Amino acid sequence: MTNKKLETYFNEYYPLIYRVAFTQMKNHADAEDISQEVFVRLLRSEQSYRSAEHEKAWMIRTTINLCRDLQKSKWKTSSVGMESVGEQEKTYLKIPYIEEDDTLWEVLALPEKYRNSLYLFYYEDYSIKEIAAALSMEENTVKTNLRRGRELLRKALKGEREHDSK
Amino acid sequence: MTVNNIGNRFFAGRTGNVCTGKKSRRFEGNFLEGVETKNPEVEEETKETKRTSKNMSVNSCYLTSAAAFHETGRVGTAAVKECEVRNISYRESDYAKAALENGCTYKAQVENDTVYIEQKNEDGTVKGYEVDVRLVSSETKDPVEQTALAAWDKVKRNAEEAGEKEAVWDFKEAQIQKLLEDREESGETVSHIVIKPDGSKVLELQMEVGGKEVVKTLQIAPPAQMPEPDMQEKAEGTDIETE
Repeated sequence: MTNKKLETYFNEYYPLIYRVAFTQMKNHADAEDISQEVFVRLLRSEQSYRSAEHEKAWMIRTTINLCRDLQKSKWKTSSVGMESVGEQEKTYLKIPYIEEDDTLWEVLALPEKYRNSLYLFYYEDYSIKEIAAALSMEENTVKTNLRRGRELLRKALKGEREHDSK
Repeated sequence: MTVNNIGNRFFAGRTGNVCTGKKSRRFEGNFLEGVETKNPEVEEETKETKRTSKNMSVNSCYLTSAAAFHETGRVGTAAVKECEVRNISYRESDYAKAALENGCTYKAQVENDTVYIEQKNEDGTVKGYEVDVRLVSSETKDPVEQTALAAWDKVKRNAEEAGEKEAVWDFKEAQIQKLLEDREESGETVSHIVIKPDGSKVLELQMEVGGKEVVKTLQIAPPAQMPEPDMQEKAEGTDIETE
């Protein structure tokens, strides 16, 4: 891969990869490490893509797989996991074009299968088909995850409101 | 499709206990898509008595559709018209919002008094609406109308901010022009830009008008942002205390 091509990939995908990595790792340092590792994999793989969608799907799938590997690693399993994003860390995640919304942080606190579908659908504007390709699952599974994830989110928000009112 | 649905319902109603929970869901599926919660009572009854299940499902089907119309209020609303979907991205929209509570995303493009709204639903369908903001009440509860108003306000606000900057620039340009004209009239003029200690830049013109030396100044850049004096004082204060 030429430097020029790598630069094009970097400019096109780095922000997206970083955001997806952040939604998995929930901290800036790990998200940066993962993003760099994705580009190392890209250099090594010399993959040829059928289309822009295929390219995008590969990037997201690789990012999520690398995040899973890191989460499974010894260091991570022996340390305390973070369910929610810290206040300081929140400043690193900026989603372009879309109105800022605190619901995002609640979405990131959901279990992985719901979180990924909801995040890609609502915050990255992916279609059901694109999400299915990126996460290697059936379109109907994506729809189910969206519905159940939103249900969980609704309960979480309701619980939070009740807690606040007490 | 509609005919089949009616057929199913009629068949279920006539035969009573033939209708299973799964089958009943088939004919009302279109209505029930997007329903946030299932009623646990209905599910329990489905297992016990199939007849109750059917009746409850049919009722909930009508209730859901009625609630949907009531919630959106789009039936008979003159301000909102359904139109062809343009498939715009977040990047191309003037305003975008993730409405998780409604199970969809909204993207808006403002064109004078009309706002194009694209609604992407969780079931994969996409709908396009054209909203005439002049006909929309500011207290509207309809999410499409609310999005249109928010988008229109945002674009208007941005335009006003840009307009204000332009107006300030026009004013400064006019002042500079006036100074230059004065200089031409008076003859010999010396001009230079002075950078003040606070970081502001001032255009200083020295000229002779009617035998008198006149100095005119025009601030062309505001003062640079300095560190807060309070912070420095606080830091100094802390040093004194520690000593």
